[in-house]
Amino acid sequence: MKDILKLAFVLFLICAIVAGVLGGVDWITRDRIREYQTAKSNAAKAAVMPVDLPEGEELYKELDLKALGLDTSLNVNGQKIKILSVSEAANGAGWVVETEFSGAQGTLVMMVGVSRQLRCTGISITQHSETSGLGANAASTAEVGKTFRAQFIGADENVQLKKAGGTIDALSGATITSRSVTNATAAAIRFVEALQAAN
Amino acid sequence: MNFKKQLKEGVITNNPILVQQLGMCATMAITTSLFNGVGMGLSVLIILTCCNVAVSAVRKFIPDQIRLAIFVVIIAGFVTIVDLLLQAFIPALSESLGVFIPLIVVNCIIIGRAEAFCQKNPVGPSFVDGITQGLGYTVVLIVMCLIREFLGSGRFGGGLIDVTEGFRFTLDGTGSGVQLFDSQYGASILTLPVGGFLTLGFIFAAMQAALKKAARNKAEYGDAEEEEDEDE
Amino acid sequence: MSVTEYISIAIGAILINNFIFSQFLGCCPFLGCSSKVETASGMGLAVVFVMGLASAICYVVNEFILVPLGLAFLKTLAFILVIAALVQFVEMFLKKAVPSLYSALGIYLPLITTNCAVLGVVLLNVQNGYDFLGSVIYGITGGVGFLLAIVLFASVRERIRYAEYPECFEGFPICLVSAGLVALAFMGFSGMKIF
Repeated sequence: MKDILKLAFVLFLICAIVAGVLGGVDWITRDRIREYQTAKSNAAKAAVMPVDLPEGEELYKELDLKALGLDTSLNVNGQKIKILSVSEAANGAGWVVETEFSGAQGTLVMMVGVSRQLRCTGISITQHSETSGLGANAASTAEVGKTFRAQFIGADENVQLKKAGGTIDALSGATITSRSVTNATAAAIRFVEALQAAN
Repeated sequence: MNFKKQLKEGVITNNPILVQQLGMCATMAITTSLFNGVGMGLSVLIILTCCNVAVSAVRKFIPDQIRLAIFVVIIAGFVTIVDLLLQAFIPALSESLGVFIPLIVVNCIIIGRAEAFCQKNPVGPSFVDGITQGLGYTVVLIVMCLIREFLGSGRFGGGLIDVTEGFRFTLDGTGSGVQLFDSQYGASILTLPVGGFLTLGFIFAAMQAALKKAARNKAEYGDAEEEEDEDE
Repeated sequence: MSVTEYISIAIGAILINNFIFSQFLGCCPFLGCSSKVETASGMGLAVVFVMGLASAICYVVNEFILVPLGLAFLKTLAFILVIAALVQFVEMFLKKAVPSLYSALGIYLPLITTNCAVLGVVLLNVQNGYDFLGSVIYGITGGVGFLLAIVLFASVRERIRYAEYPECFEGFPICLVSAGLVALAFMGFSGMKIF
């Protein structure tokens, strides 16, 4: 019995020391991690809907999805698109919608800027696991990715791939990714349409 | 303390991946760009060295029955520290490695070295062991990355080297890498999970051939290079 | 979460994002315990069991202890301890209560503590923000995916014995290459859309 108590004490002591050290490290890193996350989400939003306001002001106001009471799961051309968040640009130019949907390999998360006139102002893929050299081009910073994403600027809620009679050129070898990105853009615009109608 | 001997053991004759067959999951999962490979390798090296020193420092006070539990707690502690520091200071790496950073806890290399080496040896050799074994691990990761990146997408040093505005190193993972040939001619299968298994298999085979050759000291084994393309 | 979401978690974990072939979690036991179909299925079943239980317990630990106390940074440490204790406890329980099951799974249980699929699944549950039922479903089906992979691979491996390959591929390398080919087959599921 005495042995077990001793063992438990040693284990407890080591756990306590480790937890204490971790607490210290967490305290040091916490603010930086949070700062980085805000900066990152602002940068993704700025890429699709730039807001010109002086440094330090809140550029985007995130709306409470639950309080809006809108349907956050949309169906576009048979694909399910989930709305993760929606923020309003502080200068009133429009909204940034964060969408989640499945591509060719896994889940993609994409920011879509939507203007008051219900036109897409830009898209930016923040998370994906598409095939490198094919679907991954949709998110790439190289020319091929920029050209692909630029096509969506000005698109409306009925945006389609050329194959389906629309205007968007699919990435070569990555029709599934291109189609799902197109559907998600349409979904974001439809969501903002519902948002405007509700107000 | 024989640094040279330990270095040779860690990198070649007792390489953690190729000879001890430890820690394979991360090796195959994250070796898609040089940035990931170097980041993961160095993280493991640092954690391994810290754990080795810590375990060897407290080895006399640990009751034998619960030593494994204590090792795990110590390892988890260091892993979390590295995880938090990466999130704060090299967030791109932390995002790109994702769940594989916390999973270093169950990377058999670390607990394996603690059990096999550090609880029997003083701090000095354990420290060296951590560095040499970590180097052995990093070298294999880098070789995997180079092969998969080059044959898979024709690139070299993705994420780590940026050539868009002159040659420079980047730490934020945005580097374009050096495009050696157009990515559409690459065997993009090698950048997929399948490629991880195949590449590691071929490197393993090359290593076995090389070790056998060294053992026999005969030249009849000729070419031991990996030739992935033949497989497809 | 809706029923369709649960179904899509399940199918995703078993086929599309199979733990071994597309996420590389649990490769060590996968390669180590797959020389015979019998041992492979024993290991696989033990993993299903532990992954389901660990997902449930770690969800509770995370949601009701770590998050309210602001200790989310301790989750790796807490989860690995929970898993280690759980494995130990399951082993003792099976030994007393269900000896037949123990004799089948017993020797695999201690190995599971260091199986990264188990720690991986509980970390991914938190990362993906699954609720309780979602976590348990992801845990169990992730385990089923592991079971499927390891049994399939073990049967492939039993045939390697009769194959001819270069001498330097003896042992581990040929296993890795054939695992790669099985993974290639699993890639066929990757374009699959669920709902």
